[in-house]
Amino acid sequence: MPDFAQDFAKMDRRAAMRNIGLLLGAVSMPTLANCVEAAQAPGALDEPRLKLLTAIADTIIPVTDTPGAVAAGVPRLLSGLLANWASAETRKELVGAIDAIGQLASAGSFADLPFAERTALLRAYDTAAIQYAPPRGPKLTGIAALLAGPPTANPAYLRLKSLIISLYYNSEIAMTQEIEYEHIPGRFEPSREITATTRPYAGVGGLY
Amino acid sequence: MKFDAIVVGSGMSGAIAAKELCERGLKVLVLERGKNIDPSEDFTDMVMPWDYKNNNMVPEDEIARDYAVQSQCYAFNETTKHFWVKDSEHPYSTPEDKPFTWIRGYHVGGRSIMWGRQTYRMSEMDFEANAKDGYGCDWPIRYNDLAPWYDHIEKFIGVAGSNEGLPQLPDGQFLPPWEMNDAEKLFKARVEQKFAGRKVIIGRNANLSVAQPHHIELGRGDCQNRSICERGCSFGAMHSSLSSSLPAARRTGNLTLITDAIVHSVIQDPKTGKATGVRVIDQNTKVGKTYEAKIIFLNASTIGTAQILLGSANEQNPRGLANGSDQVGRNLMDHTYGLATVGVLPDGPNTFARGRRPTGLYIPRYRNVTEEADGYVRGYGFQGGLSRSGGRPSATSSGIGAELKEKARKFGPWTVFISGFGEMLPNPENRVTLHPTRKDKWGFAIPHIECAIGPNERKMAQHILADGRAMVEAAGATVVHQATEPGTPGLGIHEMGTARMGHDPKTSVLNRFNQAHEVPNLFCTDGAAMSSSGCQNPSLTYMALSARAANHAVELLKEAKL
Repeated sequence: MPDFAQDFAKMDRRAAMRNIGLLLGAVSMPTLANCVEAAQAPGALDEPRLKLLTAIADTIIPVTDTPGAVAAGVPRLLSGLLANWASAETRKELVGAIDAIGQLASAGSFADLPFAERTALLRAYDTAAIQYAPPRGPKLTGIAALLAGPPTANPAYLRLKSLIISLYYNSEIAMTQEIEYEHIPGRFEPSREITATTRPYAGVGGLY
Repeated sequence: MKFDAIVVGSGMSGAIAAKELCERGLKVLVLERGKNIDPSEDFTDMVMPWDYKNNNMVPEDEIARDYAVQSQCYAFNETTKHFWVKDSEHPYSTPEDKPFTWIRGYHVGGRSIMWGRQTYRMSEMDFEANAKDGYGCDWPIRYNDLAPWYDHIEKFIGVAGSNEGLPQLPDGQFLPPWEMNDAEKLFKARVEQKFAGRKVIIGRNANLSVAQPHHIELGRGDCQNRSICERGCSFGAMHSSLSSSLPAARRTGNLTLITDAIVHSVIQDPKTGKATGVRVIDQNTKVGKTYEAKIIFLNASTIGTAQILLGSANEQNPRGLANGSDQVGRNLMDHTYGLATVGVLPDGPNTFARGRRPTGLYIPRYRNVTEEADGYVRGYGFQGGLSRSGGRPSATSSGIGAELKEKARKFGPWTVFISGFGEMLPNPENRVTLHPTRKDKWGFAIPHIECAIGPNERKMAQHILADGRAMVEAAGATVVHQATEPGTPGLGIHEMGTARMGHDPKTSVLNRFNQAHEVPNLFCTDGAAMSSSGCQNPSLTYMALSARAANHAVELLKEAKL
């Protein structure tokens, strides 16, 4: 994988300036306000864990030619979810998943590792996590089974990863720079050609 | 306070009844048990994804405490939470081995805000079914009795659809249909080629593909292809009580709407046998009140209407009002739900569809129509669609980092999803009663719901799954997931049948004009009236019955027959 420096060199100046701006926190105000509010709620992560989660989110969705999860505010938003959305059980599972990644570094802290080392460790961890595993817990049927997907080796980590992905791809950064999103499409166009530069459109709500 | 008519409930059917009565000059009182809805405050369709509270997820402890049942509906999330009842405040009971999922919202407009908008006529074969195979009681009407009222409602609410000439799914007064995407066209061609007699059509939906002058007059506009209809539509492009029927009623100057008014019972004059009014309790202050009118329409939703009739028991009618037949509360039906087959199409076209179309595909019933069934009566239709993923990687697909982002920029393969909706037979043992001891916080006996699918539905479910697989495979797709059994009854959110129409007062509750056989100025035109369920989404039929009954009620009033 190209590292950040290589990517940076390939970008045009204009895009680079925009991304630097985003990295420095010049993101839209509502998103920032959400982040701050979420991070201040009781039950949010303490600073060392937030630092670890920031490293995890940055490794899963890094800066490339577009900003990554950190610029999109994902660590603080996820910390807010732990405070405001998660049950005690879910919180324990997700905090456990964060802590488990913290143990991956043989010496020192995962959060302090260089990007390339973090990526190598987490990639191997991710590959192991998605392997099929015999199901635990009650057998799911119907739509619940469809939504849950096949049982995996490390559901706690995948739940964390899934939330990081969801928060990132719902962010204004991702929806305006990474993929296409139209809140009010207006017309329905049933057939559009896909070219090398076409990006998928985000769907919200509804099955279609 | 005295009115010409009282309509109990402002949802799908009640608001249409109110509109039709108002337009014929009656002073109408609509009583809504839930809260008022202010679109400028309560519609959340303008919330951008990055401004979602909690990423649009309802807190888990709150779901466990207040929404254990409601959260099972696909449309339940943080932006729509306020449109669903709190299960903790509105309990009902079931036998332990017969769960029933009662999904609902108590507010002005009821479920017409969150409905799926699929809009289909029942056909001659549906109205004949009970008489032919002997399940349930014969419908006292036939298709031709309802056809002009289907026309009337379709035109008013606006239904997009294609004319197909199918006897089992009559055409109607349609706005231009939505188009299929390229993969759906391929699916249609392959399925229809393999299975003569089966048709894949675009879903008929109550969204304004092209708003007509009479829609625009009511402040409604064209659908914007957002597919977040259940958050409330600020464009008024989907039919709901709020966007169309209540505004139409209101502009007559004849409508009075009172919210937070829970109707407990209908008052009957012991001398004349007529209904004279209703008893209500304010849901906030718990103050009781009565309202009087010449005619009363019950549109409290299938289970709610049964609850009111049973709760209106008096000395002369100890079993409940209009219940000499003992059919009130019985024959509760839904449609089998969740019988889904999902496949991936390896050779789909290299295109995509822009915009989020507010409907899918429909495969009208063919079992016991053009093809035989495998040991069961009636049939089923499929709903579904083809779409392609992309723009959001799955956590369980391999790769992190730049690789993950890159994957999300590519379109995934076309995925086909079809799910069968099967007709459920009327069975008198599937019933709503009043709980002998448990009361809600207003002191009313809670409903006890006992409902389970029977052998006909079980056989049908197996055939739905076999057919689903066969059609997905005929399209050239590989099946990647299939349900194994239907969801619990109620999940179809098509509950109906608890005060059925029929010819005979001894075996039915309502006559051919939805009048209670035993209380001539009492009408019921919600799902409770249904003598059978068909396999079509039923809201259109409730609305057509409402308009027809309202028209008849006004004629009877004019002739001084009520």
